[in-house]
Amino acid sequence: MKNRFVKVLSFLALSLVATAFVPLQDDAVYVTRTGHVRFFSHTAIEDIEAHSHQVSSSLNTGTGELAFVLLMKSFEFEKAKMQEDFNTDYLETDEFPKSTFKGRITNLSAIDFSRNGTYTADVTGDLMIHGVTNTISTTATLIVGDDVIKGSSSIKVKLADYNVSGPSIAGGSIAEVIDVDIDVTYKPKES
Amino acid sequence: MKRTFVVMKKRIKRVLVNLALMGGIGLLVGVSVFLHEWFKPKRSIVREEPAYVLTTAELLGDFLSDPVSAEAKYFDKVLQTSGTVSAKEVDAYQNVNLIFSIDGGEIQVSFLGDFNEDAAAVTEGDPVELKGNYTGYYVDDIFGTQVKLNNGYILN
Repeated sequence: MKNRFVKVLSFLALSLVATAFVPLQDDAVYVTRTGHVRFFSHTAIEDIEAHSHQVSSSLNTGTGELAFVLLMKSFEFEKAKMQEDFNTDYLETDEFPKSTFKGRITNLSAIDFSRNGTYTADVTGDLMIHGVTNTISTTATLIVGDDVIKGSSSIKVKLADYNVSGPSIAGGSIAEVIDVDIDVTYKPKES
Repeated sequence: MKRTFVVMKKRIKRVLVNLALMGGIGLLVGVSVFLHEWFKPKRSIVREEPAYVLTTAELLGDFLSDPVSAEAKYFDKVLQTSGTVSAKEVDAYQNVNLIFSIDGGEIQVSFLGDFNEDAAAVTEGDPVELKGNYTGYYVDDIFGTQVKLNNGYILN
């Protein structure tokens, strides 16, 4: 009886040790350095649109952790004056050169990264713009393919929440709430 | 009395005409300045003289040794740099990105619009000389130190 008990214990212990050294199939880090962010301001006076194609991001499919870094100077506008005002008067990009997002997928169990398909991810995390950090929640669409994950999401950013102000916002030519669209194509991180 | 009134009337008329003229000129100048500002051409990386000419190793080396000073030195400047391409990535919008990897980090140069054509012909291992405007850097556990240039323009 005692021997059988010891054998069972040994088997359980060995199984646990073995499990610890087998990597989870889904636990992988996917990355991109060429993500795209578009921001769009619509008012009765004018529409303002800008694009950045230099967004770096990582997604850990095991933990659901998500991180984004956006260099504010990488935004390209249609008009030089808009770009200049954005950098100097509103976002003060010399003082606040980066925006970041650090968060996680909160419904990770609903996403099967080992099976190709389209999933809706609930995402919560800290968004930092203009040196101000706020916690936000949103949904993202994830399309899982062969060695690739495409992600997209849209959020609304209230400029006052990030201490962004200026005469054009008060005057009505820049919207108080900006539409921000994000799309990224992740590939497995090369080790 | 009547004569004084006529003189006064003439003076007032002259002042009003002058005021109208000044207002008109002011308005014209204001509109001209606004239009000049509003429609001024975008920065041309092709025409702009580089603030610094250096290798990709020298550029990244500056950020590896003292990133804060390097950021202040290069912020918003046009740089001319040369190095061997480690990788080429084309994003979902068909924009080419050339990567120059060096121990501890990498430099990413992004091409936009028509300039993608020259960059598309570049392959891994090619020596390249280019211009681009510095957009920033950051450090993380995944990429190490990342230095980014935008609006790349191939020179060789």
